[in-house]
Amino acid sequence: MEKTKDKFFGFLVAADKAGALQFIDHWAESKSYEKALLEVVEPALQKFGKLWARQEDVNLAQGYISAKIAESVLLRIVEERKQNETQIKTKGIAVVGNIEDDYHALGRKMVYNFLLISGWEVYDLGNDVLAEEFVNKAVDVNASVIGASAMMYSNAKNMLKIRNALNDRNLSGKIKFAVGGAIFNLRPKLVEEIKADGTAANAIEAVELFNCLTAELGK
Amino acid sequence: MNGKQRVLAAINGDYKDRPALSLTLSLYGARLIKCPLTEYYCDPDKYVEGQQKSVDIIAPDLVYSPFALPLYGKAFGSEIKIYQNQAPNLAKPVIKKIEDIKKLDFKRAIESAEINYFVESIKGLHRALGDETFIGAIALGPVDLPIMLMGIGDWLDLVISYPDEAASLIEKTSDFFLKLSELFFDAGASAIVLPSCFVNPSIVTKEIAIDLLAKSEKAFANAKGPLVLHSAGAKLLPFLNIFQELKNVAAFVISSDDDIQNARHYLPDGQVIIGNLEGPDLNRMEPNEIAGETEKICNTCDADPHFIFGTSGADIPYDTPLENIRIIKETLEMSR
Repeated sequence: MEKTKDKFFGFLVAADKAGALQFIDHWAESKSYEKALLEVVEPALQKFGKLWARQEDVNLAQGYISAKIAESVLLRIVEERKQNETQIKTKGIAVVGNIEDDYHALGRKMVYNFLLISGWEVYDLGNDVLAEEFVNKAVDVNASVIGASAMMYSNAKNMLKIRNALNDRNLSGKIKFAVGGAIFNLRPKLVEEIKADGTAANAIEAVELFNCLTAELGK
Repeated sequence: MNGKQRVLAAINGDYKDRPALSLTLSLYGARLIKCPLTEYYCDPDKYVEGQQKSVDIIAPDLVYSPFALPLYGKAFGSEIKIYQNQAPNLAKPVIKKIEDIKKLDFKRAIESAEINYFVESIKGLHRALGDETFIGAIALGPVDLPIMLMGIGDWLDLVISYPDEAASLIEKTSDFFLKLSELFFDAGASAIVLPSCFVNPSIVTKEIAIDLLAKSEKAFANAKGPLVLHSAGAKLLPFLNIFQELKNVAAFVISSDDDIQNARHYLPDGQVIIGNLEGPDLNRMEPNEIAGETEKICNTCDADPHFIFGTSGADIPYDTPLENIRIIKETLEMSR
């Protein structure tokens, strides 16, 4: 099994989407995509996420292709679940988006994909989202986590408005507030400055963050 | 010596009275003349006035044309966002799906108001400052322009998943770059500065970088003047050995994360190294810290005849106290 995981991990490192999917398709033929997710894809992604967090020779191309691979595997799983009429319990509900004035969508899209494949129900609000829109949507869909993304410091400062909006509506203990984006890796103290509940070093590790934040809510 | 002479001395490896100074004050010029950015990024006269003011007050040896890359996207139909105190950003790319690539109108783009703004800004800078100051014209290269047309994610996807379509687009953007650089040189640019936003180790693998540079080779080989490769904030060092083989590249603006001495190891033939103080950090540093960093970098490069001290990364932020910029010049003057 370790060999299988290592081989799939190799496809992630090589940013080889075609190779990765061919490998998973072949593996799932005798088992299932659901098993492939649990036994091959998730462990390889976690290993890749740790490497990425340490910034060890990992670049955006590899991260992006990993997210696309995750997305494709997810589509296969959805199809498989439909055929088998399997019902899956979601891990939680999240609302994600780029904060007001921010248009750097890539990281947010990757977080969206990794959350989906990990069993989250996710609502993606897109770019340039106002704090009120984040909170309104989170209330509407009963989300446990709001995930806001920004690339630059000047835009990241707008995230404080989310905390203020949560406080104004007495929602801070009920909805967790996660932040991410390149600026938080450069300036880790910014998380405290904008009173967020946590951040993650990359899109893959965001899943673990969302899981932990939801656990803190007792959900 | 004037600024232009100092920069030329660095290129030629000749004596200079002090290290030449390159500061990315493209955005900061607007603050110095209190010009709203909505006006500054479309009126070449305002841009030139801002840069003239920066030369009057701070006197860098090298000035840049507008560092406003999303305007290249706008020239093709992308939507951009103009802020009150930062450079513009891409809001909605013109290409939404692969088929849209065929609809790109390169002829119309080269005649657009945005490209005209760049050209007129360079002409104005040349008229006002060209005798004494080196003028770096910022242009998006063939593999970076697509970011402003489709966003970095879709461009990455195209490069990896649809290499033939990517190659065909690079062919067109290479021709566009050559036309653009000709316009810029004719307008008075001393060199064309290409921010390497895409081909850098934080974005792509080395294999992808080599492939993309090979596909855009003609843009470098046929340029009618010197080119400067700008790190755009990312580390350049891991790719310097492939960049240094590109034709007509006379200088590199390295990242503040790059080790200057190691960078020189990869550039033994006298290509100029520019940098290495992190420009975007200047608004949150104390003047004494900035002076210390400046002195340290100057001491490291003391014996390097092809070194130009400068800020690395993108623009010096709008809210940077003027004393934080002035201290750089003062420290440099003391290192004579």
